[in-house]
Amino acid sequence: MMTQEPRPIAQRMENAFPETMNARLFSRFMVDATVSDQILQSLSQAQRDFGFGLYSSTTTGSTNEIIPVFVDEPLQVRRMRDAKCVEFQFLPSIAQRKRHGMWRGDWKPTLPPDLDHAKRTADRVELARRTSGRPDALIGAAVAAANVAQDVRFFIDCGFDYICLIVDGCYEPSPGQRVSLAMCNETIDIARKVRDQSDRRSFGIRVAASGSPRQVAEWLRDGIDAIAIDAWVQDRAPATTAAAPVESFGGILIESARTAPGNAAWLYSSIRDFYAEIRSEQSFFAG
Amino acid sequence: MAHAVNETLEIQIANHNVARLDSVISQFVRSLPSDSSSGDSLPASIHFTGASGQDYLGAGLNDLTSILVSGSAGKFAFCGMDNCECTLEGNAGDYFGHSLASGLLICQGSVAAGVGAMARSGLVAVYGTAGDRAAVSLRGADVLIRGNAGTLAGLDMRQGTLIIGGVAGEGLGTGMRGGVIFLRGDAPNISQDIEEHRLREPDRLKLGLLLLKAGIKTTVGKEFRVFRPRSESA
Repeated sequence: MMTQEPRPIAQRMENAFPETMNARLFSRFMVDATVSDQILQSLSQAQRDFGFGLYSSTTTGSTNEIIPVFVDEPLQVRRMRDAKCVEFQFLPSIAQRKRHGMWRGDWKPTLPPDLDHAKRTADRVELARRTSGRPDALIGAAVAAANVAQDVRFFIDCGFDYICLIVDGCYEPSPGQRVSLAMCNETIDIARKVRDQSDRRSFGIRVAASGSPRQVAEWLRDGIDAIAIDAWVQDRAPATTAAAPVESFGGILIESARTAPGNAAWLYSSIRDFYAEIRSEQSFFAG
Repeated sequence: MAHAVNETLEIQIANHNVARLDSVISQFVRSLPSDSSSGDSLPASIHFTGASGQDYLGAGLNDLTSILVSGSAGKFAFCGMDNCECTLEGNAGDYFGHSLASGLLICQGSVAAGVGAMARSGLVAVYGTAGDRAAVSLRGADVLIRGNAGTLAGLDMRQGTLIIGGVAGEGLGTGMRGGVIFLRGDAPNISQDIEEHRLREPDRLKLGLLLLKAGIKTTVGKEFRVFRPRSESA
């Protein structure tokens, strides 16, 4: 397989996080799920040790992380200051995803009534860019992989730097808590085709998908800028953390009847293993 | 250019990144002579001059006592402002006071579409008229328009207060889920999502306080009509 040159956006992303080894792998747990302190600690440790990409938590904003901005919530402009990467979430924010048994519906794209026009969305992109105070700040959009072609065109027109397509959405780090929305290879093909037909060849594509280290290495070589590996990590969670929805006597799905253990060391070791495997893949094909 | 006059810092906006007025202020405070009485602390009030329709003016300003801006502002002026008292002497573009977190924001001219959109708390007051979709998706703040408002005022409003002193455009209160609208003038086509209520004493008190806070000295009589969402009153 031919090795492609790194895309400009990928270079910019690595420039944006110079102190990290590789921010092309990341987690969306902090925006898609309600994570415990233990999970947060494991993710932060992986960020420090491997340069694993993370979103800023809602409480502690760090300029070295991806700042999530939910389009259906008031803009928190101060969090965007000095940000290197801001990502607009075209999905309902966590606070609105508390209805038991309605998980699938939660992944529908959301648009507030004042965002019915590409121009109005473009204004928000410019706001994020100007507020960050960095001309090289990356402004992205995360959306469920449903109408991929239309969404890629729309976000290119709005002036975003990249799109994050959620193919496999993980709403808890526990196994089974996942929504698969599309086939990843097909999604990537459509997104790349639309991007290549546009006048914005530098437009970045990120995916949140379930894939082995070998598949992820291939996707990265094929021009995907970054991949959220939550689904892979989720599959490695110990069985005791299983917290599948259970049906109550009333026929209503409730979130979880079991308590997850406090130790989330498995999460860190899973990410470490992924890095080890992907390094092995990359060195094998590079050689 | 900047200079401190009697505890007021005067700054010419000129070519600065107006979306980062916080940085501009810090920069000018540092540039003041060390024997200045203000030292490193911020002056009691800051006067920005030379605003000429720049977009994103004062976005995310926080924890400043008093700001006066001479001139006009573009879209998203004072978006996400928190704990400040700001007065704009001219007109403003779309989304004036979008996502306001707290404080007082006054526009002495007129504003375009989406004034006070998604504002969470505080008061946005407009002395002139407002364009379409005033207070769209309002989340708890108070929005006062002394003049007329365009179409779809209070669209998808969830919480808070919208006061319209003049005439409201078509579709007033469309998709409104919470909060209250006070209307002094007429409305040609009111949405089916809201219904009229009697102006009660608490409403009158609230109106009086908000008008006073916005710097409008008047007595509140029966000329105001009150609208609330149908579901809320059911």
